[in-house]
Amino acid sequence: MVALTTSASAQCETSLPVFCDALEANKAMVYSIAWHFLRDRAAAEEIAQDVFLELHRSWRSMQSAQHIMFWLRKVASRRCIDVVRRRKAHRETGLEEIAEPTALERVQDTLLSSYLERMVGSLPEKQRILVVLRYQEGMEPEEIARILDMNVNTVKTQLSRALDLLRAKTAHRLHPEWSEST
Amino acid sequence: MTSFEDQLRQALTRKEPPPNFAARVMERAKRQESVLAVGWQWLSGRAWTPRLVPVMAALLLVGGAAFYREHQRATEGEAAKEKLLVAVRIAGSKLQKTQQQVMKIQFGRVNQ
Repeated sequence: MVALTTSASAQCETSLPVFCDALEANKAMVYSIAWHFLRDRAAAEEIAQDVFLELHRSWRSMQSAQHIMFWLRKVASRRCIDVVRRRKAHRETGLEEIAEPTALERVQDTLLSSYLERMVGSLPEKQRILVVLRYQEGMEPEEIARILDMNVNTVKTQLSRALDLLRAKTAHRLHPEWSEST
Repeated sequence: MTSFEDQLRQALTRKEPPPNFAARVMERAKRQESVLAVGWQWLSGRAWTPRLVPVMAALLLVGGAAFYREHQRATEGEAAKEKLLVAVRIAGSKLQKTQQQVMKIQFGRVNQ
């Protein structure tokens, strides 16, 4: 069983104070993985809730805070990929189909982040989860490979392809120097 | 880290889940816990539960045997169907050859 602090927050006055702490500490991480992957608030919340319920069921096998974080990232990533695969009817928008940034986006850098988010959301699912884990969670390719049961070189290659795709679509429009920094 | 990667990192910063997210999870977790507890209590509270084990085993055995028999029948049926299809194919090609021979003979007579 994990040895976390037992100070339960006001929201969680339950018989599970330790689980509650893990929930508080990791809820933004799990929710953000799902949100950046699916770009759908309701679906992201549902996935995040399901992931924490699964954690609750598997609580006895958790060994440390690091183990919980590893487990949550792994389960959240897999669930996100499963949801997209199950949505047969949902047509994925390809990078080529996304509208070019408008003149407004070109001048207002504040919109760049949301534009980039949209672009990440349109990447193929495997590349998308790699980008989310790499740039949202700041994970190294080796850690990502362990979480997704992938070869490290495959992770690096796929990440590099994803970055090339994103750069190709945004660099020349927004910051010409990006295309030169590859 | 290039500026593009920095921008990407900035775009993908963590977001807070909606308010009451944790409360909703805890509520579902409690419900899940109580369902499990009730189920376990119900099972362990029954004196006849151990007596059910051989019955369940027997049912499982009978069910398994029936499934196996059905599977065998399906496999045999598939094999028979395959054989029949091969036979039909052979008969078809023979028939075609015979038809060609007959046509040849007929054409030969007409030309004479």
